[in-house]
Amino acid sequence: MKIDELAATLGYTIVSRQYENREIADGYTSDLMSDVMGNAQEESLLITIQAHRNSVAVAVQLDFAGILICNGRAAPAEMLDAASEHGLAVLTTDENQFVSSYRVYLAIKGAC
Amino acid sequence: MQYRADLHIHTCLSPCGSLEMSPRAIVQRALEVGINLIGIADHNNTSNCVTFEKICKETAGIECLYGLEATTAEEIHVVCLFDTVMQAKEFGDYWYSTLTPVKNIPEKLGDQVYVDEDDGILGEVEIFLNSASTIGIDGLRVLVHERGGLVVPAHVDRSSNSLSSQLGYLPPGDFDALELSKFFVARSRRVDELNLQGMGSCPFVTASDAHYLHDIGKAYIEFEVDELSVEALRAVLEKKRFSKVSNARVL
Repeated sequence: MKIDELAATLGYTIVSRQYENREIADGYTSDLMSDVMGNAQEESLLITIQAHRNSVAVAVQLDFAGILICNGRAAPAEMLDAASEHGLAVLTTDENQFVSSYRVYLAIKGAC
Repeated sequence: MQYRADLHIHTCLSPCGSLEMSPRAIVQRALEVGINLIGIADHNNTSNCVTFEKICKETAGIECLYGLEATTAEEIHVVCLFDTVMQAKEFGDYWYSTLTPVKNIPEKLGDQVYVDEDDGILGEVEIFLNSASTIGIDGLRVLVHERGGLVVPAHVDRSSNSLSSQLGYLPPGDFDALELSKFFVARSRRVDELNLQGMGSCPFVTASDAHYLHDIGKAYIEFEVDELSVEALRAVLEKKRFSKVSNARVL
């Protein structure tokens, strides 16, 4: 499932200006970027509340499909600038990470 | 003696530190802007410290505290400083061995080089230095204090890698000071605005966190001691006999 379709299906807002509508192969939920770097798969959607430029750096490094920021947190301008520079999709939701993880999992992998 | 101290400066060793940040260039810039005490705090490694010792010994008007900016398991950055290179290196080598071993890729993540007094490259550090240790902030504090070092959680006001972003409270224990970023101090913001419970009476300092030469000295503390040492500085901080200055440009 691609970013646009995920956002439309699950009701997430895409806040980055320029982004590549990537296929989401997997998801990873973590707020520790060192953990993400050590364990996440490429082409994942990062589900986090770490709304800052470092998350973009890690996501780009790992060739992620995008970042979903939970808990209604806003993506600051410098994060969105960095994301747009790399064509990385950044989405936001009011859901917490528990709910988002479940919903995104179902959407991209189907029911367990 | 009066000190104007910038106690959080990165070098070319940190992956995010500019390659222009050689020990010689840093010392020169510090002198130019009136800083006479620098704190060397690269991410999770002390390999550039020994060159600073050589340069500071032969250069009048500049002194140095040696250490690193540790990334704890909670991904909190903490500036740790020691009197001597030997102390810093002993701790630094141990701390480096506790990092989650993400291998550095210089083209993607940045160069991690340590150099001699003539800016000649001596070597490269293998593990990505923005990785985190397996040791948490409490463990770090104990380790550094046991070795006579100073423990200062870095840029506590920042929205990432800070006590406020990662924990939201100051854990119990004797931290020597809390560092506010140069922008917080420049904006004259108040510490009660911070998302940080349990601050108690912990003193607040500031420093440049310089990753580029032009940032050195943008924030510093001023204090007076008879003879410089970590112990003397610890006492100054505890008694709050220092002032914080920032002339960072705030947009």
